[in-house]
Amino acid sequence: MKLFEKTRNTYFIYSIIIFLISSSIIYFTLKRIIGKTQDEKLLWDKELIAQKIKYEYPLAIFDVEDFKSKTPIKDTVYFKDTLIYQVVNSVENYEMYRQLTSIETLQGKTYRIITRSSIVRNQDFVLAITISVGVVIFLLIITVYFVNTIIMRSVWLPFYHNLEVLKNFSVENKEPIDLQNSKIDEFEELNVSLSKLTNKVKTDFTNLKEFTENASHEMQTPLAIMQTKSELLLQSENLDAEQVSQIRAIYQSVQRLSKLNKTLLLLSKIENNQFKELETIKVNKVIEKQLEIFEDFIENKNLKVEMRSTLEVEIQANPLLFDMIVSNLISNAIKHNIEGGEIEILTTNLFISISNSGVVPKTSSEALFERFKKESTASNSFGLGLAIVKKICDNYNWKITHSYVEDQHNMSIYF
Amino acid sequence: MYYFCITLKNVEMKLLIVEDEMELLNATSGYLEKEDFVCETAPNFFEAEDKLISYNYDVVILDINLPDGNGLELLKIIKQKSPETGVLIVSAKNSLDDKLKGLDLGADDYITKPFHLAELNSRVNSLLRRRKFEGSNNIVFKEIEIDPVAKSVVANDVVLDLTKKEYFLLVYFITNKNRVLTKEAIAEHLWGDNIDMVDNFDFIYTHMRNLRKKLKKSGANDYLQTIYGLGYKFGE
Repeated sequence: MKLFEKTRNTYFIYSIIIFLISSSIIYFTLKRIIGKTQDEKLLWDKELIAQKIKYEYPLAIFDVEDFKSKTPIKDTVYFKDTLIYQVVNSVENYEMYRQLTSIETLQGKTYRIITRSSIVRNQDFVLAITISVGVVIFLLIITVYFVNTIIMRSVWLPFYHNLEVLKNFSVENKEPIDLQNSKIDEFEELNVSLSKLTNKVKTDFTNLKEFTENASHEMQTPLAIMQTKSELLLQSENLDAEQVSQIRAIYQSVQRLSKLNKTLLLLSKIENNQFKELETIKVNKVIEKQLEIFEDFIENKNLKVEMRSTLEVEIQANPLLFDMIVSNLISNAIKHNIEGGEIEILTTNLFISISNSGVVPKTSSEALFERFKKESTASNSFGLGLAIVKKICDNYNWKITHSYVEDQHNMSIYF
Repeated sequence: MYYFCITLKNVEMKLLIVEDEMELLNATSGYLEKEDFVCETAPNFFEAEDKLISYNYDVVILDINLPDGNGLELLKIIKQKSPETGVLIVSAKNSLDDKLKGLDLGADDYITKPFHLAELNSRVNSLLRRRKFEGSNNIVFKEIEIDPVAKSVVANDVVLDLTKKEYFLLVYFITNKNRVLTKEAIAEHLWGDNIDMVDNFDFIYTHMRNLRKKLKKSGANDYLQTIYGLGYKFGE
């Protein structure tokens, strides 16, 4: 649940609860107080009357009646709520009254004094006050609710902005992270820490990359030495077959290592965006040139090559990188083809696709583009070719896909 | 014009090899001396500078990643003092920037480490042909004569009909005669480094076989020897 909602809803629920409790408390307290006041008045009035009787003031103002009682009478004082029938303006109704009945003996005679007071008016009074207070509290709650929402939004805005920035954070991005400032101390602290953290990560990453690149460069020279020395050794006149085979093994391993090193260096160069120069490239020409370079290999496997295209297809890219893509794709199409198979190349302004006949792939289409993923473990390739192609495509925001349908591998690049 | 048609055999070319790795320096100079070049060496910037100022060379093989000074500085010195000297840049970095900078500053060619010695030899020879003799120097080996400008090969006065790859192969072999040339070196020479097809060298065999056949047809001796498991050798 979002922070906003959680705090707001919590506040709201508690406010409502408090509102209900306070309203109830007010209502009942008021009722009690007013009830008590009313009872005290009734008592007071009764005392007044009793005093009057005691000191023989004229009783004419009161209704005096004789009353008879069957049971022996005792002195009592008691309250009760009673309904009194009355007619007001020709409207008949029963109204609630609070009544005090007091039986006492005054001046030798037993008197029953009854005093009454209307409850309805008090009830209205209590209700009015309760409602007024209730409304005020309610308004307060609503106001707080909205003010809270407004404040929350403005306070948390930088936080959410920075959250988005973090989501899009890439360690390879050259620019430092762009966080929005906030007047809230905690958020500022968070920003400072985040900046430090991301900068450190970037620096570490760059250092690691540089280290890897330097290591690869350093390896070139010893590799060169190994290669030339083995080549010189191979020139020796009096080597027996055993020695030749040993040296050959060394020589071939050095070759592989050199190639691997060169390829890794290439990958890191592409990542470092060191192939920035762009040119308008005639796609078909590049493909034709590469096909010519590979013609021996194509002939060797008796492959049939067909190329079709809609008009002259031109794209903007670095020529070296594009050469690499075409070379790699054609090389794969040849390598993973069957004897006497075919290769079909299709180019349009939206995509180029290379299809070749071949066996069912062991790796999934997505995994093919990962580094060091090879189709055949027997082959001498490193499995980096497609990784390079993918990296270059990513660089230009081109989409590359592979599919295998009806015994045909298909590689397509969408521009 | 006839005066200039001399083979590389009769004039000894002077080379300066500038390289800070001693082993590599020795290997390279050893190989090239066997190719009848006069080789001098310089393991650092200052010695190289010294030698360049004092002597003239036909070709300088220059490692531009010297520890005590950028090799490109040496290139500038060469261009100033003796612009007719050919320069072949050697670099550990396959850096396009360095390559362009070098070629802009007047270098003739660029090769990356690790390289095949035969390839280096081949490049030095091409460089020399281009510079010294404006490419019009014929390559001669016994009864075989190659005209690098016309790209034609004549053996026993019979013109051979060679494909592009067969022609390059023959030039490569004669330039590196009596050397064991590995299949890898040959493949890289013909197809460059982008080829990942290290598994299968059968096609080289096909070219070699065809070349042999064509040479035999013209009555030339069979100088192409197969060295089992390694590659080939051209020579006697």
